[in-house]
Amino acid sequence: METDCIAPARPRSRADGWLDWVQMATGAALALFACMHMLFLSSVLFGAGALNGLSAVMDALHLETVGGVLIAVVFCIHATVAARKIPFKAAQAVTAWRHARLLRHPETWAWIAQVVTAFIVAALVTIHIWTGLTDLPVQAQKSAVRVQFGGWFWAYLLLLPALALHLVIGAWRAGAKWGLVTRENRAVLTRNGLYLLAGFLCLSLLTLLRFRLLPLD
Amino acid sequence: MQRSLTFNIFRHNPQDPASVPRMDTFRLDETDSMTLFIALHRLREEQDPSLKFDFCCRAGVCGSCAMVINGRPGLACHTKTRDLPAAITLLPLPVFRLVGDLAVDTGTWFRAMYQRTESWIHTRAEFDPAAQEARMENEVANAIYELDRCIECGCCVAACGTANLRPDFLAPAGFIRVARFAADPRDQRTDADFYEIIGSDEGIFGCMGLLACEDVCPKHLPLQNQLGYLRRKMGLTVLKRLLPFGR
Repeated sequence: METDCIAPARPRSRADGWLDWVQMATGAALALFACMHMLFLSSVLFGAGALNGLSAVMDALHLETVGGVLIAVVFCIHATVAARKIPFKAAQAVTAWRHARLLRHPETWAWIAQVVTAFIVAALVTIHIWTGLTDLPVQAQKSAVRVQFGGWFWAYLLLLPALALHLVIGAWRAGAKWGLVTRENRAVLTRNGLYLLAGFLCLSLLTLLRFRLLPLD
Repeated sequence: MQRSLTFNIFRHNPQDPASVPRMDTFRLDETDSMTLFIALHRLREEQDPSLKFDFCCRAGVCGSCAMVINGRPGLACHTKTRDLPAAITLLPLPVFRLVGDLAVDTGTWFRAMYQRTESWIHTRAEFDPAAQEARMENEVANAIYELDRCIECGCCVAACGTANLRPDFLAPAGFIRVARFAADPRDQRTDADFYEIIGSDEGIFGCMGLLACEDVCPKHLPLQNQLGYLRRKMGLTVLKRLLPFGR
């Protein structure tokens, strides 16, 4: 986008600062939840009884219902607030794409990947939340049926890598924006981010496979 | 072995209504220690005198010869051809107004940025022309100098994703300018005052943390660390407003 000079800014508002905090805080909360949710579901690797036992405890504490609704609300807030940074207009999208292709810069490509995965996550997680919350409590057999019939396996096969990418890139970028990723530790944290991505992917795909192969009663 | 270099160079004269943007191809034999600055001068002298590009110091000081070199913004005078493949594509910096071919007008952008950031010492101290200049600790002076080394080449602006998407974005060059005055004890502006300048999506909250600015800055300015520092500073300024004593 070519300009004569930097365009004048609009009048000041406190909203941008607040929205930045909200975006970061809701993103961090969702990332933390996604990791815990993953760990919780991966207990199925130890057998259906392990997952059902954990689920029973959480259900008794009403964590699944209250927590589920809360997470759905946080999810909606994060999607709404974070969307203001997405180049929705066609001209902007073309500019962003051309910029990334021209620059060939890993972090700029990572941002493009985060935008693309945002759409995948938004669509599939919305369905996932609705399906989960309308069929509580979580039980290994119910999840296994969902994965083994009706195309859900393929949906999760798309969702899980997209979520892992979105989560790790988001966490890294939040760190870069707020100064936790510094010039000095950038290489180390980038490497750790890739390890986290690989770990999340392995665990989630193994869990998915376990549900796929879980014998049904 | 001497290489034959192929230059694909953007050509367009926006002042000429008949001019159509195009890429022209030139060939040149590489010489020892050849920089893009030398190559461009030879192309202009030997092949096409109408080729437009900016230059001044040829030593990485003036920032005039910034352009997009094989996709990355950089200084022509700092870039040795031996570090590049035999095919070299040169484009003008995006974001800035195109003067012609590889020459862009960074001056107007930077002047407007200086006005927006109020890039001067703000003090209520009475100026006494007879008094000695106030002393400053060497550490502080060095810290300010480190932030004041920007040569206004515009590479960070051209590499910035947000600056490419929105023309009102202050961009890394603007932030490092604000950081320079925030570090200066003679400047009496408070965090709340700086918030009025950069506390928005056109300011520091518009930064997406892609760090391309950090990676292309030819003077290796501490952009990444300063951008994080300013965001924390402005983020805390917003939070402080919640507190009765923070207003």
